[in-house]
Amino acid sequence: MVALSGVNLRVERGEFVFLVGASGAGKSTLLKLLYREETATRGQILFNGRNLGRLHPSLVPHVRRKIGVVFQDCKLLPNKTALENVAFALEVTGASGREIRRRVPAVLELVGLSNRLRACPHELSSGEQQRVALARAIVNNPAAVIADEPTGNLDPDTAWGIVGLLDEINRRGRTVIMATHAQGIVNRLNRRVVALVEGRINRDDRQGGYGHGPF
Amino acid sequence: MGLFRLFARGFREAFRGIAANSVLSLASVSTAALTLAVLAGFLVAAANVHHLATVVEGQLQVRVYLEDGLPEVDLRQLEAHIAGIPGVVGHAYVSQEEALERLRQYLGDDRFILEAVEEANPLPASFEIDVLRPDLVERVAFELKDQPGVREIRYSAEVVRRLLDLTNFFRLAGLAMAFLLTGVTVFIIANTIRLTVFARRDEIAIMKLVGATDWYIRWPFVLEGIVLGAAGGGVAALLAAGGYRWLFRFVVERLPFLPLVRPEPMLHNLTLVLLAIGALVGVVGSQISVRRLLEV
Ligand SMILES: Nc1ncnc2c1ncn2[C@@H]1O[C@H](COP(=O)(O)OP(=O)(O)O)[C@@H](O)[C@H]1O
Ligand SMILES: [Mg+2]
Repeated sequence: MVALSGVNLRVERGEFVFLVGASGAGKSTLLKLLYREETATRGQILFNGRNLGRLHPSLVPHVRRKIGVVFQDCKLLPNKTALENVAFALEVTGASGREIRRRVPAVLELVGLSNRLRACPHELSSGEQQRVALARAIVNNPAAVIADEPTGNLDPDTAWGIVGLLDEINRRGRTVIMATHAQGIVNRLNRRVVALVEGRINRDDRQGGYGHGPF
Repeated sequence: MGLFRLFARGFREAFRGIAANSVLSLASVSTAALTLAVLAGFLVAAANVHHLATVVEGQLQVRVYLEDGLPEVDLRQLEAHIAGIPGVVGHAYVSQEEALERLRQYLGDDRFILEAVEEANPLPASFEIDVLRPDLVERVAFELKDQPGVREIRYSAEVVRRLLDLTNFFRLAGLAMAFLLTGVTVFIIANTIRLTVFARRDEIAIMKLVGATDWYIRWPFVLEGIVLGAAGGGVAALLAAGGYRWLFRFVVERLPFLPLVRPEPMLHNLTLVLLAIGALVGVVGSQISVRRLLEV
């Protein structure tokens, strides 16, 4: 079966894009193509001018470091503290110990977790866990952050906290692409909205909303 | 990245993996140890037979062992007879005491082994007879076979060829056995590491997501394989060294004329070889189990 077809999308550096659509519309698939979890059977995907489909496997890690990814299930390591979970992402890039000690507490402070550094995921609320995941996504100073339904598991207030952080991250110059069903969030933020229907782009508004209703 | 940190992390992760499935790790090390001990056995046997061959080969010589307490008259008569055989270019009498002294020198630091036999010297006196050409050796031996006072005659030629054949057999058999058993070891190590890989699949997925290179992800598993394999090699080396030292002492005490290879430096080299092969087997085993990690 075909998950996506005829998709033609250009996102500028520093943009904030909502990717909306029903379950199974192809949002996750499109995002996976962007961080090269999947490769397209046809067409091409360019990131910073690089064709991801033609990328040599040894270069994939280096592209990944330029893209922070956040998921609905935070994908934190359960037996590591918030600090260690974030440090992990920096360690694998070969950052120095000094660099890690400097940057990790700083990003955790940015997401408002200065007082929870030594807590393990099971000691954190879902919202706090998602903040740790966000901190991990940005600790490498990526050009873009991709969030696949990051608020899917959260209550409205907590969800707003996460979206507020993504907005902040975007204001600091990073491109943010967020897949979501949350109509309230999309409507209130009033940013670019790309709507997928059955694997095709059905609508692309520079500033738009998404249906009606609070969430 | 700092090489030291890379190593430290690799070892930390490797030992974490080994500790996490200690039973299978132990099985891996045991199999590797068993395999390499078998290989060591064949290698040591080959080394000894080869040594024996060179010892024998070095002698264009017939050695006539004499009965103990042979009267001076018989000795003189035998000596005269030897000197008269065509093809004999020289001969020397080796008394029991001299034989023991030679053995002492050959043993060097291990000569304390002989303390037990100082009282009753078990070594026979002998004549060493130098022969002109290899094809005359057998004739000389035949001439002396039935002389009074002669206990036993030893000579080389044919023996050397058989010994060298035997050396090759031990080497080939050792290699074949080792090859077969190594397959089993690689399989078990690969499965042990596969278990570690499975236990860490979430961690690996996250590592990939945040941009870890393949080598960074693989390295701890490769180290885990090296540690398991080399540990097996170490155990095998201990077994081989202990076993051979015991055998050497045993043989020197009871069959002092049998020229065994001295334990050092052979065992030292053997240890290095076993560690290296163990590590190599570990690398191969780990590569098999992490190959699939490459697929993103
Ligand atoms: N790994 C997969 N293998 C085959 N089909 C898949 C896979 N993942 C998703 N799909 C299909 O692709 C389509 C798009 O899925 P997805 O991108 O996950 O949609 P969304 O994230 O918008 O809910 C769906 O029809 C889904 O069933
Ligand atoms: Mg999805």
